[in-house]
Amino acid sequence: MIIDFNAHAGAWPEQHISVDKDRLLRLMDESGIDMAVVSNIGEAMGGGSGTDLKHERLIPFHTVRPDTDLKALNGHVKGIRIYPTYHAWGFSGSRWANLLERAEGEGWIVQVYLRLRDPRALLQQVASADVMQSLGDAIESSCYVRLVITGMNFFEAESYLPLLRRKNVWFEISHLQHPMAPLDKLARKIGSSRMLFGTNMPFFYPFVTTFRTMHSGLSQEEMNRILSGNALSLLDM
Amino acid sequence: MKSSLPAEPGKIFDIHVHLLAQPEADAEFLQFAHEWRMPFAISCLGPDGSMIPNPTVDEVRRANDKVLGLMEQEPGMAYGFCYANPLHGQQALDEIRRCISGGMVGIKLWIACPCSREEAFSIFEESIALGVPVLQHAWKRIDKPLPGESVASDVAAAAKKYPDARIIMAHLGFNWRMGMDAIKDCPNVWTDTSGIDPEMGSVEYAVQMLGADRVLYGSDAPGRDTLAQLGKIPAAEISHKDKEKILHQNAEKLLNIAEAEQ
Repeated sequence: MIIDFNAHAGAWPEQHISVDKDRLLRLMDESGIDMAVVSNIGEAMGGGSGTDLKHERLIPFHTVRPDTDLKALNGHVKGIRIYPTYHAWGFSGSRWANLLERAEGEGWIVQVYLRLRDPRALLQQVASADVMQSLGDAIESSCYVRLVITGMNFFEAESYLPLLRRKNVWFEISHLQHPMAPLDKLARKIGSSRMLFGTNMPFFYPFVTTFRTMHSGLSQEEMNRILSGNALSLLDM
Repeated sequence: MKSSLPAEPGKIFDIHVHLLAQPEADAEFLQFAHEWRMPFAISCLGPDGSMIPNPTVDEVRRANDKVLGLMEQEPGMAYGFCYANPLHGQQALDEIRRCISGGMVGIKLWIACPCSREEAFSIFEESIALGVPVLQHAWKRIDKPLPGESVASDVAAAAKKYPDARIIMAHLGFNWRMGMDAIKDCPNVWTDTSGIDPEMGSVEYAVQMLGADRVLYGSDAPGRDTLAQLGKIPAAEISHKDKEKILHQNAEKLLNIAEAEQ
């Protein structure tokens, strides 16, 4: 079984992105993916229309921007997504504190996006390193909220090993593009129990993450954790 | 699910690999190449463990010596590309001749100067005379370019000035839409898929604009994860025949490597 923790649907014309539910499901089938955690890219980045995400194979997360009215969000989701390199968040103010309080109360997973594309192709308002630093400081006081760091590269992961080893922190693997065998190396350093399969579709070819995970040097047990075991546990499924 | 085929052992040629002069990383790549029975084109951009944008004559020579050494160690696997610095003038041409006579099969240009500048012209002239292709780094970023960095329009300008030169534009030019648009009318330019994230649609767009015969698989390893780079080709929505061309047939043809030799 494979659960993709990093998928988007919807439209973002500026980035030539347009994927409806049927296309998303087809991409999942072609890549051997059974279920996907998904949200609307248009809601996150603006400028595009949303799409219906109701389907038994899709696990919707809310998109939360700094100006989102938290009170207006319904509680019937398993998690929320924030994009602090693209939206100016800040992890020391009341917005972040309120978000954590609500997430803790609802039992939401908080998925933190560092990048959707290479920053040399899609500019970030705040550098990933600055977000990771702030997040590291902030998480010290938020040990009950479950965090999924998404779009992190290998070198960032290496720089924040203590953070990534925390029991309430997981990280998603789609942007581990350097150097050779990054999945194997991080499984050794951090442990496969912290790693979540993610494709970053529709920005990336979803099959690539399937291909590289299947051909990695990970043991079958490690692979099973990354492909779905960790996600099932995190999503209480 | 998509099949992993034809990205299978013995059916892949990686056109864009670096000898980093970092023993652990280089050994890791070689192990992968042997496991996948995958020959490769390789250049060294610095002899002491880091890539040098504007190397001295001595640094270039020592870097190329490392590649010549690897070719001797890995016959039928390692195909050398000679690193050249166009700013070295006649000394660059002498170094190219030394390396090609030593068995290298191409020339590698990085970011010493944009390839549309006059300093690079003699390199293209030499490549024509020696009958070898030039692999040119090209990277169109949204922020400020690196000093001396070429973009696809530089490659197109060089290709039009030297229609008999055979040029491989690396990385799909990074911004792959702009990159493919810039070189589509240059039949003497190929592109490689190396070094960029596996962005959906990139390989299809290259095939659509250039035709499958002008697209080459490359990884930019060991700096990049070979599996993530390789996975783009089976992932792309193109024909099996086109995947085979991209994975190995085009490179073998461009470098005049008979399949039987491997």
